[in-house]
This record gives sequence, structure tokens and C-alpha cells, in this order.
Amino acid sequence: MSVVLKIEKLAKYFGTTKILKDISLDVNKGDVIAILGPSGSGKSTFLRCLNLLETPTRGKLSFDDKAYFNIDYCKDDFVDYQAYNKALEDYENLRVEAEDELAIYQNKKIEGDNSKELAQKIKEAKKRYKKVLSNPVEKIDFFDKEKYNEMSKNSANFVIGDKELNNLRAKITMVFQSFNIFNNIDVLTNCVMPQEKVLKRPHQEARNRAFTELKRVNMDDRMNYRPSALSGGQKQRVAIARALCIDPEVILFDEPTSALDPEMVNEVLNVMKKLAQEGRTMIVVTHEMDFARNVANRVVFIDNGYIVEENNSADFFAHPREKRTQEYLRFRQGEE
Amino acid sequence: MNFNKIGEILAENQEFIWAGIASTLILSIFGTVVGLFLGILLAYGKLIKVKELDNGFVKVLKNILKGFCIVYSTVFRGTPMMVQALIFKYGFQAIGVNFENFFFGSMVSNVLNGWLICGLIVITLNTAAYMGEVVISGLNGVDLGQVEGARSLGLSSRQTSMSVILPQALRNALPTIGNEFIVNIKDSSVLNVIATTELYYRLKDIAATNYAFLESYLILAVIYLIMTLLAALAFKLVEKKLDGKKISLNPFGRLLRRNEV
Ligand SMILES: Nc1ncnc2c1ncn2[C@@H]1O[C@H](COP(=O)(O)OP(=O)(O)O)[C@@H](O)[C@H]1O
Ligand SMILES: [Mg+2]
Repeated sequence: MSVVLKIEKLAKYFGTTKILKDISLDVNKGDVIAILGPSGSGKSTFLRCLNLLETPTRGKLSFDDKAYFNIDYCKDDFVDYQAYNKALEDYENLRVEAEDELAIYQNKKIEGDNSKELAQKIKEAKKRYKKVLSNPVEKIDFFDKEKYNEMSKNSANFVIGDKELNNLRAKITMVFQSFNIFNNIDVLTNCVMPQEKVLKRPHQEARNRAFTELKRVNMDDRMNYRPSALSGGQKQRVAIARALCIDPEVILFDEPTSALDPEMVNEVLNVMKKLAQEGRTMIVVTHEMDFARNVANRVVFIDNGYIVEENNSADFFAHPREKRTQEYLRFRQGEE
Repeated sequence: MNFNKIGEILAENQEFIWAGIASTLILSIFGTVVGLFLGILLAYGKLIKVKELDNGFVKVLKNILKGFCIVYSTVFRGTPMMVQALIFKYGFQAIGVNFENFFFGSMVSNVLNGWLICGLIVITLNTAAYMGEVVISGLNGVDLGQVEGARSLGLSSRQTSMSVILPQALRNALPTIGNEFIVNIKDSSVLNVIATTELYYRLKDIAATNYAFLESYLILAVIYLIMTLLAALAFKLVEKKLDGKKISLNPFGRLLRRNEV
């Protein structure tokens, strides 16, 4: 089996929180990987990092053995975030305290106390408040610069260029929860335009290809419709056809059926099932347990920004190893 | 008031009135179209993001461009077009450009004279400032998911702007753009202060020479009304066309359809 997409120690910070914590995963050709996990656990962020819609903070991503993102060390790795967050909290407490004290005295003044003592107290409180403000917590104080310089001296620091990135995104494309098909053009043009712009395919060839893919998703009878005239399920099928038109090697699905009314979920899942059977490589963030169990060959369970458990789908459901996984599966099954 | 007088004025001054209509149309159409184009540039200028990673030169350039766009739009939206017109007229004179000397042949000299050119410059620059805001709010109305959809297929940021975002922003803004056009039809009348021979200027002339003020200004009002109504209708048709709907000029179209159901 050949690895198409190799993910090594992928990390992503948003502000002071590490949303993705060193995720590693090998995606083989033909894999259909279901990604499960509670909401807010970082599944979308993970997926969006794979085609660099979100720039990872650190990690290595390779497509067909060629790295397109490779940063060994990021500054954030050398920030003691635990201490930093603690300090931020302390600072905020001090600030509020000083502010309250000042406010109390000032209120007394408003109430008519014009004594000298109060004026003195206000002056002092102001001073204290200013002093607190003048000592804000700086990230840099928690940054181990020496270690960072030492470690990153000979380390990799590579991000693919804009042009190549666009070509890569055609190879690792994405289908969204909110469809995101272009509202200003009809279904057919939605499928034709990206081929012409990204792959430089001649118009007629692009049209023919669009016909084929729209037929595959059963949307060939709606080719001249505007997106506004389509149902959610139809929009999603167009989005899938549009993605197929640009010859992707890997398709990322981010909760493709979560925004759909129940009766439309199956029409989309059936299309995805067909793609899986054709041997396409897919990574699917989903809450559809049946899909994960019966269509996917591997399941990855993400919680709190890291992979808790990863297994082939039969074993994943039959013998979940981790306690967190078992809880999650029980919760999901209770729901169904 | 004398209704015969109205007929008389119309008959006797046909040529001037048509010339006035032509000037006003040229001013409002050119001003709106070119103003919109400049407004798009202005909008992108105002939305420039100066990134931390940009090198020093790029940063300075971006800041200058952005600053210019902000100042431009503030100044042009914060002063009356009439005052702008006067400043342009005397400003050009001060640097030795005299629009009085611009003429284009004898036959059309009634319409295409130097003051029309000056008026065109003023109305275009003025419209651009407003269009900038119109385009910005159109851009804000476009769902961010459209950008992600495009980028995730491999479209460059430029391709995304040109084929996906801008068309949708302009579609969102179309009613407001139509409004701007109608405002231009009416407000081009202030250009009479620099002797641009638009519709109001013509009728003012006619009123004074015939000593028939009420009649002339009633004619003027009716012509403006017809022009603005037609403009509104035209924009409705364009909106329908852009939404991919069939256009029917049959006034009974809606009636018939209702009966079919
Ligand atoms: N652009 C962003 N800026 C800041 N925080 C973000 C951003 N995107 C996501 N997050 C945070 O990252 C966490 C993971 O989000 P997400 O990847 O969307 O989770 P999931 O898809 O599993 O529900 C959430 O806590 C969310 O608030
Ligand atoms: Mg998500």
C-alpha cells in the first residue's frame, strides 16, 4: 500500500491555545478514513490544515512523498503556555481588583464625600491601578529563546509557494458542510469554471467532464439551475461533482451531511459510498456512525486536539480500546 | 398656468430639450459606469491589509495607497458636489486649463462642450467615492464560504476575486448601484453652476427667455420623472437577467402566469 498523504506531528495554535496537538497519520491510497470526535475537538481545523486552508503552526505534511509543509519547530513550542496562561489570569485578577478599589472610592466622591482623605485614597488607588497596567504579561517572558535558537538552528522551515499550493489544492480538495458552491453561476458552470481556471482544460473538454460527473451524482437534470433553486442535498451533490471534476487524489469532507434535512442525508451518503467503492481516497469528518462502520475502512477518534484512538473500522467499533472512545460511542449509540 | 404655453414651449425648444436630455444621460451613465469602476478600485484600496510579514517597502506602499483611498472617499463624500464642481472649474483655470476652449465640431457643440467634460470629471470622481462604499458593503455581504470553496479547488486569490466574489458583491450591490444612477440623473443638475448644459440648465434658460417659469419647471420635473422611472425599470430587468430568470416585456406576463396556476 502506498502512502499518499503523510501527516507528522501536526500542531496548530489559535492564540494561546494549542488546538491540534501533534497529530500524525498516514493516509494510504484508497483509504476511506472516518474522523469522529465531539464538536470543538479540532476535526475541522485538522482537515483545513491538510490543504493549508489553515496554516499549521508546525509539523510536516507530504503528498506523494513530497513535503509541502515542513516546519520542525515553532516559537510556540518554546513558550511555557501553562505558566503564561496562569500569569495572564493572575494579571487579570490584579487588574480587576485595582479597578474595583478605584471605582469604590470614586463612587464615594460622586455621593458627595469631598474629604481630603478620600482624595488622597483616590490618588493612591489610581497609582496602583496604573502600576498594574504598566506591567502587562508578555508572551516573550515565557519564551525560551535560547532553546528555540539552539533547536531551530538546522531545522526545516519550508512552506510550499502560492502557485504550487493552488495545484496541490486541486489534488487535495475539500467538500464543506455549507456546500460553498458558487452562487453567481449555474450548476454546470460551477463544475466547468474551476477546470478551466485551475487545470487550464479547454472549454469543451471541461463541459464533457462536468456532464460525466454531474451524471455520477444524479444532478445532470439540473445543470442550468442556479444554486438558489436547489435543495441542500442537491447542492452538496453538485459540490461533490465539482470537486471530482478537478481530478483530486484525496477528497476531504467536513461534515458533509450535518447541514442537511434528514431526508436528504442518504442521497449524499449514497454518492459518497459509491466513490468509496470506486477506490477513491477520502477523509471524512462525520457524525454518521453507519457510514463510519460500513463504508470507511479506518476510523480515527479525535478528542481535545489529539488522536485518542485509531483503528480499522471493524475493530474500532467491536473493541474500542480507550475509555474516552467507549464513552463517545455509547453517547452516540444512545442518540440513535 | 397655461397649458397651451406648455405645448408651445415644448414645440419651440425641442432641440434644446433633447440636447439637455442627452447631456444629462451622458453625465449620469458615464458617471455611474466609470464611477463604479473607480469605486471598485477604491474599495479594494480601502480593504488593503498590511501584513506583518510584508517587507518595509511593500508596507509603506500599502499604507500610502490605503491612506489615499480613505482620504479620497472622506473628502468627496463629505463635501457637496456643487462645491466640488466649482473647485474643479477654478482649479483647472488656475493651472491654465480652460474648458471654454474645448469644442467638438459645430453640430454637436450644443452637447459636447468643454463644460460637459468638466462636469463628467466631477460627477465621476464624486460617484466613485460613493461606489467605493457600495462595493465594500457588497463585498461584506458575500459569504466567506464562497472564498474557501474557491480556494480549496485551487483557484488563486485573484481568480477567486474576479470570478466568484466580485460578481456576487456587485449583484448584492445592484439595487444600490441603481439608486446611485438615479441620484446621478437628478443631481447632475447641480453642475449647472459650472455651465454644464445639462437638462436643468437648458430649462432654466428656456424659462427665463419665455418668461414661463412654472411651465418650464413642470416640464423639467416630468422629464426627470420619466428618466428616473425608466432607469429603475432598466435596473430591475438587469437584476432579473443576472439571477438567470427569463425576461418578459409582456406587461400581462405576471397576470397570465397567475391564471395558469
Ligand atoms: N479561526 C479560529 N480562531 C480561533 N479559534 C478557533 C478558530 N477556528 C477554530 N477555533 C477553535 O478551535 C477549536 C476546534 O475547532 P474545530 O476544529 O472547528 O472543531 P470541530 O470541527 O471538531 O468541531 C474550537 O475550540 C474552536 O473554538
Ligand atoms: Mg467542525
